[in-house]
Amino acid sequence: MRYFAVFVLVLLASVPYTLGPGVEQSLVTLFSLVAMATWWNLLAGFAGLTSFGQQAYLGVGAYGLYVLALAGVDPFAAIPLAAALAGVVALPVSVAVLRLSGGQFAVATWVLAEIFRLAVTLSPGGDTGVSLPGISGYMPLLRQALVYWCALGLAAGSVLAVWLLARGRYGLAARAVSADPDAAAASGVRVARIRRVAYCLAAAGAGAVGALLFTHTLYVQPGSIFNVQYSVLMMFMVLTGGLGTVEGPVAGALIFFVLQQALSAHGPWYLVLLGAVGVAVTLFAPRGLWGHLGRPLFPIAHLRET
Amino acid sequence: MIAAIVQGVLVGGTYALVACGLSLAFGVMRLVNIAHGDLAVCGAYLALMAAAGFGAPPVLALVLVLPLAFGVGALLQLTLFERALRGGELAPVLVTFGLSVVIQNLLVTGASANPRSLDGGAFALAGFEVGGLTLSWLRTAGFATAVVVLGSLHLLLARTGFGRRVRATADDPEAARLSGVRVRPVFACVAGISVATAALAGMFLGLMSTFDPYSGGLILIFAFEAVVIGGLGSLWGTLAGGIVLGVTQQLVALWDVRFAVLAVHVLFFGVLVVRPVRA
Amino acid sequence: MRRRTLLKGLGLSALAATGCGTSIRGSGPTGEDRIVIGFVSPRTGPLAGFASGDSFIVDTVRRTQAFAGGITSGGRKYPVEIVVKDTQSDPNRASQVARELILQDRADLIVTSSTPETTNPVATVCETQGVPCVSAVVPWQAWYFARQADPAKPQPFTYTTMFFFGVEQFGGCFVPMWERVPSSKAVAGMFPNDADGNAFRSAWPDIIEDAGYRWVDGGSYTNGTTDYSSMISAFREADCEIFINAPIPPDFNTMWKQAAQQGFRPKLATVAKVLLFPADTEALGDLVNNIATDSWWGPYMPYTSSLDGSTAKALAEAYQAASGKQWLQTLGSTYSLFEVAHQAFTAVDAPHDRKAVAAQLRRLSYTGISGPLDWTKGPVPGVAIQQPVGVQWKKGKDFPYEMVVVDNTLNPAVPVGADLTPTNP
Repeated sequence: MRYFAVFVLVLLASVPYTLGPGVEQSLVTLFSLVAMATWWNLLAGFAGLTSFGQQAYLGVGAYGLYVLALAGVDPFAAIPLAAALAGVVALPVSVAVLRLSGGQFAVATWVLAEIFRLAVTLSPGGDTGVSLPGISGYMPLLRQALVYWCALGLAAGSVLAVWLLARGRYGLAARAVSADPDAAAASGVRVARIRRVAYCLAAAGAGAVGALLFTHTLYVQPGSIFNVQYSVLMMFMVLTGGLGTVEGPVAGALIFFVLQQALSAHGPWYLVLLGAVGVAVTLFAPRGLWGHLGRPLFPIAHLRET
Repeated sequence: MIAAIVQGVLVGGTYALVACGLSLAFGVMRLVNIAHGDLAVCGAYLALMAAAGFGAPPVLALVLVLPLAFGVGALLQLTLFERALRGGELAPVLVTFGLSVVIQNLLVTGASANPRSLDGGAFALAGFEVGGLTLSWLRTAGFATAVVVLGSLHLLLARTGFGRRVRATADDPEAARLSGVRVRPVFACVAGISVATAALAGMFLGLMSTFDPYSGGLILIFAFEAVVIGGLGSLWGTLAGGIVLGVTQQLVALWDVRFAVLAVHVLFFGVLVVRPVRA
Repeated sequence: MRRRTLLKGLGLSALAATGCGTSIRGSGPTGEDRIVIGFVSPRTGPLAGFASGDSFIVDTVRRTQAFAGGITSGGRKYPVEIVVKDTQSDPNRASQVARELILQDRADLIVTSSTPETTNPVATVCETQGVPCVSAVVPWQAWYFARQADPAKPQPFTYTTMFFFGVEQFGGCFVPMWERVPSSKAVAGMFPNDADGNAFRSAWPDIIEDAGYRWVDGGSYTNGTTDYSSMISAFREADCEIFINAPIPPDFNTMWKQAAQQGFRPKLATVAKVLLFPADTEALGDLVNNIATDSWWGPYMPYTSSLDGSTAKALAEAYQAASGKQWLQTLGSTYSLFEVAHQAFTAVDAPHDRKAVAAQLRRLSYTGISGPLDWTKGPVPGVAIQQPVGVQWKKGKDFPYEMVVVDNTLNPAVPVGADLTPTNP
């Protein structure tokens, strides 16, 4: 299994030399979807928090990258810094939002993303957005390849990080919190801390994706990057794939990606379908496709129900 | 200053009108309906269709839209919400969010993403003078409607047999069932009323400004803020919450328009931080 | 452990790439025997009004002999393919479709139109990828300064050019109209916090004060604001009788209705970015009567196509006949984007040489359906300036409201069609 994963990674890493920019473009999208879904799943699947506001940290990552690049930092080197910034911003915010749970948490995080969006529009770019500075030094081909490798690294690193987290002590405690916060607290799990760690890590992950998307699109606008549509996507990828599994978000991202490629020519019908599938999966197959059909490739539980 | 406060109160009435359905569904069924804003936008589109199809002015379109919205709400409760509410804390959030995505994109395919507005004729453009202030008839009507709707909901819950059954079910569905209340129809009615008020509010919003298939999100956020600021599940609290939102927005706009909406969101966050909110 | 190897591997491949960057597969120009022109505009969403004539223009251009028969460049004839993309009025989507055009459709030139939200992301991608690009229907200040890393020290662009006009032309067009309406000389300004709004906000006050008027700023509101009460009462308190703006169209509808409700009725409204098109007038009904705006193109323009010699009037009439809808100003601009493409490709030796095409675009000078366009005399490199005229929406014969020229100070070649009437007497 491990050798297979490494083989696939090497194969994917060679794409800029073999298949060229057309394929790179689509795969960057796919990889950022995988990373987004994976970090959203850490929140929803493991810590039991459905956020509709992860776009807040996509935006913090993208605009953080803008500020860093303006200050002369190389845009690619600035991606991890932007991610760290998002994680740091999330820390004080978590004090307020983690008082809530369920639907109220969801809407509160959404409002938070709106606060960030409006705050960002006060910057000189305003509602129109800004171009990425400091990128013109790169040859177009090399820049695309670097974006591609960063995206691949981010997706693989995210899956790996969440897997390592989930199968350790933290994961065990987090799943207890997600299943029943009161019972978990009663058996000595520090619920607030588990949730805070998940919230800040998920924010940093989203920040990295936001920064990466900016190096990809070269242009960022508050209305786009802070759009709740991103949370919609994260939610559906995780739900259809399988909430609370490591493979689920990856499977969900693949499903979404294929649907989008196949159906987007027919207008937004694929989103209608996606919404309906999300509702149906929540109601009738809460463990998602992977949970029902697949075998765990990345086992996380010692006591996994069969 | 006074002008800003008066305008704020009137605008706040509209927020409260959107929010009361959300407040009701939360108070009775513990349901945070993420699709509430989108259902409001649907109401505006229905009125638009009525106007385009039969040339019906918005007031007449109400006759058509309100019963329809009530039916849709009851149906949603019986098919989706009921099941979702049994599925734990996450399920209702995910299901209503999914519903919101379906509604938005159906509207995009049906009516395109272009912004629309409802034509309220001369009435919608007219204003009147009171003590040196020029107020819009439309906004005043919106505020009055909000007060009437909230008042009659309050009376319905406090004074009627139906209201007693609703309150009993809200307190403890099992106990209510045991004492002979048929819970399903009660919940279906509440969901119907909730969606009908959303549709009504959507029509007012459509008359006052423009809307597109994606407007529902912001409408939901404002409604939710009104509910939280006013105290969860309390109808008069929701009106107060809406007014606080409206007045805050107007007063801050007086100083600098850039911060008007931002201030409303920050106020909401402040309320979250200082006041314990229990589900 | 595995993560570290992975990171190392990534680092190595990045090194390898830097070392032998040439071995990365490129998209490059097609090298095939055809010219690909990409066209990006907001066909759906809040800005859709700008693009409603675009399909018609693309079809018309495709049918002209100049395009259908192929473009002769460097002594060879190349068939032309026009690939059309919709931004859905979303800048992110605009950037995405621009990349698709470059990488998948292998466009030799990208032309784009209508508002900074469309042109700026597209031009940014083109500049970075080294693909020639022509923009239109965007004030040049919003196009030029908003894309600079440091607007105080602007750097000229290599691959991206545009034609339209700027805030100084709005001033030259609107101030003469204000002069003809006796007023309190207080000008109310409604400008959002976006590239257009900020460009106007920084340039208008000087123009206004030089003309002897007083400037009242309604505040830098966010697009999508639904309540304008505070702005309206500020305008009323300052006794403003002239009104200027540059909002997105749906926001103007909301604001202008609220202005009517709350009793703000300026004597003359000279608007920008909105009411440019007949579709915008439908939402407001009689509230548009005698609102003035700028017009950079219309059937009254004495210009002819550089592709087939047909007149502006003929183009507008052909559109009305084909669509059943009223003509709109962007017909001329979109048409000229393809005229410019034709001019550039016929003047270079190799159409796939992106540097040569871009250089040709920067020194182009020709006269077509949008009148004379001269890139050698622009305010900054890469910009050609049009001269608009002042128009008013008046009750029409064939359509509820029609644009009539009321002021030709900037462009005396255009005949005046009617007297200026105050918006609110």
